[in-house]
Amino acid sequence: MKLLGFLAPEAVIDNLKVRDKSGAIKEMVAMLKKVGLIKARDVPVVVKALLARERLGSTGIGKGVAVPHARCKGVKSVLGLLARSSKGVQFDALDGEPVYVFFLLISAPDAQSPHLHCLERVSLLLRDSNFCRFLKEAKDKKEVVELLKEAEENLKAAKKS
Amino acid sequence: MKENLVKRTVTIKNSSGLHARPAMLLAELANKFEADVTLSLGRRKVDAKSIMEVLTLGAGWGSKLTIAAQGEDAPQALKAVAKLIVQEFSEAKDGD
Repeated sequence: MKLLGFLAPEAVIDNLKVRDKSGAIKEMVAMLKKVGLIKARDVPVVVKALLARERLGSTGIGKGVAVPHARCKGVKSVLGLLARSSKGVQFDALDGEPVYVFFLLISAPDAQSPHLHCLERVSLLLRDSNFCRFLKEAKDKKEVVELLKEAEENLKAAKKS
Repeated sequence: MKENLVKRTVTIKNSSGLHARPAMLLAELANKFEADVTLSLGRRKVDAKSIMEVLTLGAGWGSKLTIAAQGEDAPQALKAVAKLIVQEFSEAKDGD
């Protein structure tokens, strides 16, 4: 599965406006609706599911990164969104630090294996400190999308070697 | 110092695999021990104390993971981590 296959380039949020957890989640879901990835009527359900998941334990896995995720009927396999926050969002991350980069994933209820695969891809990228630095420093949405494309190529090359 | 290296291979049995929450529980547990704890899947080997590293394995249902622990409390660490995996992270059958 391609990285950009599930991270819609048009849905990238260059800089989140809000800095609190539920606000950030709502802003990201609103973007998914805006670009037509989820239906307007699914918005409250998706927001609720994401917040419920956070109550089980924050998806802020440390180092300024969070991977909020939930299931939603009607989506095809897995879809996702990348969002940045220049000032950081208080997300109750495990290391207590603010979150600067979000990979939000919405999976179909039966897409356990694609969901796991997406987490694998995302964490492989995030493990790379260069990628994280470039992602933080990218000037705009266009540069973020370019960076993701490059990362995709690098992952492919790494798998072959 | 090569003291107390212990290993055990276990199979992932929860249907949703080693996704975010199990990875978090596993790393949290591994961090309670002094011993170095690693997980191997095929040729890949990662630090079990880092959630991000654990997630990079993408270990799904049926994956055979080798847990290795080394250090003073290695046997206890191995036992605890293996138990967590074997007990399917106490997940509801539906996962999350």
